[in-house]
Amino acid sequence: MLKMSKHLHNISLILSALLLVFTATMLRGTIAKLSDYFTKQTVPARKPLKTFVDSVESIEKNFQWKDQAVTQEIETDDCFLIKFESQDQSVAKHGGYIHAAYYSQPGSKVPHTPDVCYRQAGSIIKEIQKIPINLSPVANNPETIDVTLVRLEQKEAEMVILFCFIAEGQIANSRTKVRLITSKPGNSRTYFCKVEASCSYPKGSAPKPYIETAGTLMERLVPKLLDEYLPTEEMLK
Amino acid sequence: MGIFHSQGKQVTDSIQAKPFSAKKGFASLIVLLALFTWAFYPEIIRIITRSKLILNNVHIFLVPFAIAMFILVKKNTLRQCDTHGSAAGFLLIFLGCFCYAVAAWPFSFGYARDLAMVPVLAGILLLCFGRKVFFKLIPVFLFVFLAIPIGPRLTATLVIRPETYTLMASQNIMELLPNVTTELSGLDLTIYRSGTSNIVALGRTSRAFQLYFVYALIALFVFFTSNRTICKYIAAVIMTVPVIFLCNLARFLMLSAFTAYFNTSALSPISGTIAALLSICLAYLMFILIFNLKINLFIEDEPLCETGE
Repeated sequence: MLKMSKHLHNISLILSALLLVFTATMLRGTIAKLSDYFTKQTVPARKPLKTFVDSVESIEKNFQWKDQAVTQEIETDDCFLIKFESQDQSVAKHGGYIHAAYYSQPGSKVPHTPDVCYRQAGSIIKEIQKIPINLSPVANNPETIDVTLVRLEQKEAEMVILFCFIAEGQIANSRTKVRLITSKPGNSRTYFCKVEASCSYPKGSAPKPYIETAGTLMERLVPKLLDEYLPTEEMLK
Repeated sequence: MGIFHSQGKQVTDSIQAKPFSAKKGFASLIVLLALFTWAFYPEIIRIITRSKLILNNVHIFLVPFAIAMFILVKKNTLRQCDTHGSAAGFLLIFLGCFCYAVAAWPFSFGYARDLAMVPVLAGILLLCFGRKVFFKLIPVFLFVFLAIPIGPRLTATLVIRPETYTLMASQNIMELLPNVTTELSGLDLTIYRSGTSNIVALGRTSRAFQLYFVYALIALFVFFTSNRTICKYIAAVIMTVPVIFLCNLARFLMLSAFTAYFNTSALSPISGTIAALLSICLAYLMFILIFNLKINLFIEDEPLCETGE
């Protein structure tokens, strides 16, 4: 018995040494080859996100933002940021911004989330949490997704931002989840999209109505992007 | 009598066999560690390079000394352990290499790749010296874990809450000082005093939440260099995180005070280094105090008097 365990130990020592030699000599090369072979290709959006502002009927656009410096910083030019006042009374009271950016280059870095960016720009985080929103509130079979709520205090106002990512058709609310979805083998093409809806309000006001407004914006924005703009499952195969 | 004799002989055999198995263990350890370094040299170089650039990771250079000191402290206990290697070590090495491969492809996570080195090292130790030594040296793996720096993007996400609370607490405390007013805007804590204004640690990454791995390393070191009871384990689990937060707050407050009273430049490394060193000393004292407090959760009943009722 003792002899057998000694043999087993010796075999384990040799196997371990071989495994480490394999890791040192061949593993990295093999991974590089696999990675090259299975690299996901880029896929264009069904419609460029830049055209989003033209197709939304229910909003009165105030302006469409397009700043070359910022598009360079966020590493894509297929994006929009629209300030609007809706004709819908529930949204019209507060107005807000919607923003989405589309990424499809293999190796694109997932951008920082608003909780990270707005702090660098001088905002103070008051609250971060996940909240559910209903994507089809009127349908019989509502689909609920979790988005991240960030509440910030700025110099002269407060702000609520709801954000999520859409990666290969799936909703994700963290950068890590986006990386996991886009790295997962299966599809031969990849994309991800960052979606945000935000509302500013005077300091000291109760945030609830503004969170609801931002939620309404997300409820309309996400299905519209999925149905009309972002690539379908077939396009990813 | 025969049984006693044969048992005695077995004990003598095992004592005689021990030096041989320890020698064999050390020889295997040297070979496997050399292969480990060869296999993971890109990760090791990356960790060293990153730690040279960021103050937050400078403790990485102290980890080898901490490990050496820990082994020195535990020398006698380790000597008494059976040093026959365990074949199960291979499974840990395999697991580590597998995690490394998966974290390279299909998922590309640098931090996970770096972390994969920990099970490989643990496996090497288990393979060379067996279970008893392995369990005694678990803190060493925790030291190695703390020596692996988290990437900047992940750090940026993880520090949001602690950094925000530290900044707010520092602002409130600094406001209590005479002739000092403050303004907090994002990460910038501006301090106004006697007509001058300075921003604390302007431009430094995660300025209000740094050195947390250093404090954790101190906690681990202080805790594991003595034998602890289960109560101490519970106390350590409950107290370590608040003490880390407190020491970080103390560091940032000292930095704010230097900025307010000595008008130190935001880019000056002196005030940052002094605050860091003082907070490290504070962490060391606090952990010594906490881990050596006598906790009597269970009060023993007084023995009954023999002549009692």
